[in-house]
Amino acid sequence: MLNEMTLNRISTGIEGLDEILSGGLIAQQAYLIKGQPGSGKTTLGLHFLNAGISQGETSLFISFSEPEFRLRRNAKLLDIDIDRVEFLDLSPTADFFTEDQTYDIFSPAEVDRAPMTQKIIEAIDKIKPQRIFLDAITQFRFLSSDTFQFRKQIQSFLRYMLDRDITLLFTSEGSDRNPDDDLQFMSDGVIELHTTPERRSIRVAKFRGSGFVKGYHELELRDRGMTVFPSLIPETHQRKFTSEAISSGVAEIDELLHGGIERGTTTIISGPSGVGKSTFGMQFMKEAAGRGERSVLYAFEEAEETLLTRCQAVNIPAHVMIDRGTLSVVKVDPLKYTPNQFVHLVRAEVEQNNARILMIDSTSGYRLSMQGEDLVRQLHSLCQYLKNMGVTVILINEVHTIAGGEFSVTDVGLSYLADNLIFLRYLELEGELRKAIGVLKKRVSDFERTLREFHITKYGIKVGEPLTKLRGILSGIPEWIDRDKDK
Amino acid sequence: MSEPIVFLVLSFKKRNRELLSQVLVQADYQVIAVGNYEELEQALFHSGTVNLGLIDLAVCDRRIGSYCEQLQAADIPFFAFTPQYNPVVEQDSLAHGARSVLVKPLVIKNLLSLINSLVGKLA
Repeated sequence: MLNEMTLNRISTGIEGLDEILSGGLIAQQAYLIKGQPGSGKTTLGLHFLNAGISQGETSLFISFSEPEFRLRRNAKLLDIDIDRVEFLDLSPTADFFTEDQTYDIFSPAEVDRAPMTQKIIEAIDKIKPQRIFLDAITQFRFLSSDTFQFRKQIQSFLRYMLDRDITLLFTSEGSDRNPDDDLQFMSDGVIELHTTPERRSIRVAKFRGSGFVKGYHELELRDRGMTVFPSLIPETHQRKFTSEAISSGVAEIDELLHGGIERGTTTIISGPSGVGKSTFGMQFMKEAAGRGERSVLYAFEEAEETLLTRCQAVNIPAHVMIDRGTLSVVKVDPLKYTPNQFVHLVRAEVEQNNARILMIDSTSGYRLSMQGEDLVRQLHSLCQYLKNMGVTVILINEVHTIAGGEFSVTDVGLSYLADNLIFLRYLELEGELRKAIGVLKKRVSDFERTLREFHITKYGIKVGEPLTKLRGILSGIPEWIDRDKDK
Repeated sequence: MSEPIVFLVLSFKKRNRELLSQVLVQADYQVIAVGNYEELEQALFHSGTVNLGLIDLAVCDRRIGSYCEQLQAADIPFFAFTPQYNPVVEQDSLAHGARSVLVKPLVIKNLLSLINSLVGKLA
C-alpha cells in the first residue's frame, strides 16, 4: 500500500520548501504556483528545473511570457544553472508588435490554440521531460472560448502530462479580479507566494497525498535565488540524548547547582551590567570544549573580538576553542535577521555541526536586533526546539537594577522559559562593591538555597563558601548577622 | 470542371486578411486580399471575376460606402464585419448591399457554413 513515505518525493531545489512539503513534491503530480508579478514564481520554477537536472532528469521550461534568452540571463544572474534545461519559447516575438500581428477576426481560441498545443505535444514527444515548468497557464484562459472549455482543456492538458509521468509546476497570476479557484481545484498542490512591502512569504495551501507544514513561512529572494525559512514547529524535531548534569568546571558552582545544569534545559543567567553573566555562561562552554563538545555563542551586543579578548583575560581560551571547532562566536548585527532566519542559523549549527550548548547574549539584544513581532513567543519556540534536540541553552538576561531596590530576575517576562534561573548581584558590603551568585529555580533537581560570593579573576571564576552569616543580600546592602549579635 | 469561386477580402488589418485568406484557401476558394482602397479599386476593376466579398469595416471611413455600392451594382454579394454590434452601421451596410453584418470575432465553422450556403445559392 502506498503511504506518504513510499511515494516518490522529488526536491523543489529549495531546501526550506522541501522541508515544508514533508520532504519534497510527490512526483508525477501537477502543482499550481500562484502569486502576484514579482513574487518569485519563475525563480521557484528555475530552482525546480535545476534540481531535476542535478538528479539526471530532463527538464523543460514552457514559457508563454518571457523569451528564452531573458530567462537564461536571469537564471545566470541568480547563479542557477539551467544550461541543460530545454526550452519551449511560446512568448510573443517582436514582430507581433512591429509587423502588427494583432487580429480580431477570429478568437484566439480558434487561431492560436491548435498550433500552440501542437508545439507543446511535439516538444514533449521529442524531449520526454520528467519535469516541466509552465509559465503561465493563465495563457490558456485567453485561448479558451469560455470557462467550461478552459476547465476541460486544462484537465485534459494535466492528464496528458501526468500520463507521461511528468511532474508539472505551472504558474498563475490569480487575483481578486482574476480568480483562479478552478486551477486550484484541478491541481494536486497549491503553493502561494505572497509579497508585501515589508516581507515575502510562502504558503502551501494544498498538497494531495501528503502532509505539510501549515501557515506562512518567510521567503527571501536574494542574489542566489530563493531561500525559504520554514517556521519552527518544535514538536516535529526530536533527538535522543541523556539527561545528565553538565559541570561548569568550578566545584562551588556545581555545588550550588547540585551537580551542574542539565543537558537539554534552558538556563537564564540574570544580573546587572558588568556583573559577569557572559563569563559565567562561557565557563560552561569552556568545560564543554574540554569534553570535545561544540558550543555556539550568538553575540547580539558585543563585538566578537572584544568578547574573545575578555575571555582570554579570565582564563577562558576562546581563540583556542574556536580553532579547535569547539566554539563558534556569531556576531548578530541589528535588524539583519528575522526570527525565522535566525532559527535557520541555529538549526544549521545544531543539525549540521552538532552544537551542544548555545548561548544568546543577550535576550534584550535579541529583541532589539530581530525584525518582526512576538519575539518572546519566537524565543520560546526556539528554546523548545533546542530542548527537544538535547541542546543546553543559556540565555543572558540583563536587569537594570545595579544594587538595592526591588529584586527582579528578568525585565522582559522571560522567566517562564527557564528551567534554571541563576542570578548574579552586586552587593555593597562595608563600603566595597562585591558580587554574589544564587540559584532561584531549578526544575530538574534541588539546588543550594544560599548565595555565594562571586569573583572573576585572571585565573577564572572563583566562587566562595555559602554566605550564611549575611542577611538582606537580595536588597543589595546586606548586614552581618553575627556582628549584630555581638553588638 | 467548374470555375473556382473567387473571394475579395478587404481588411486594413494585415493579420485579419491573412487569417481570412487562410480559412478560405483551406476551404478550396480563391482569394484576392486587399488592405486599402487603392488595392480594392484595383481588384474591383482590373482583377477579373470576383464572386463574393468579405469586408472588414474596422478602420474604414465613409469612402467604403461607394465601394459597397459598386459591389452591389456588380451583383457581387458580400458580408460586412464589425468589431461590435452597432445598429446604425448595420443599417447602413445593409442599405449599401451587404447580405449580412457579422460581429467579430467570427466562429470559423459558422462563417464557412454561411459562405458555403451562399456559394450553393450562387451555383
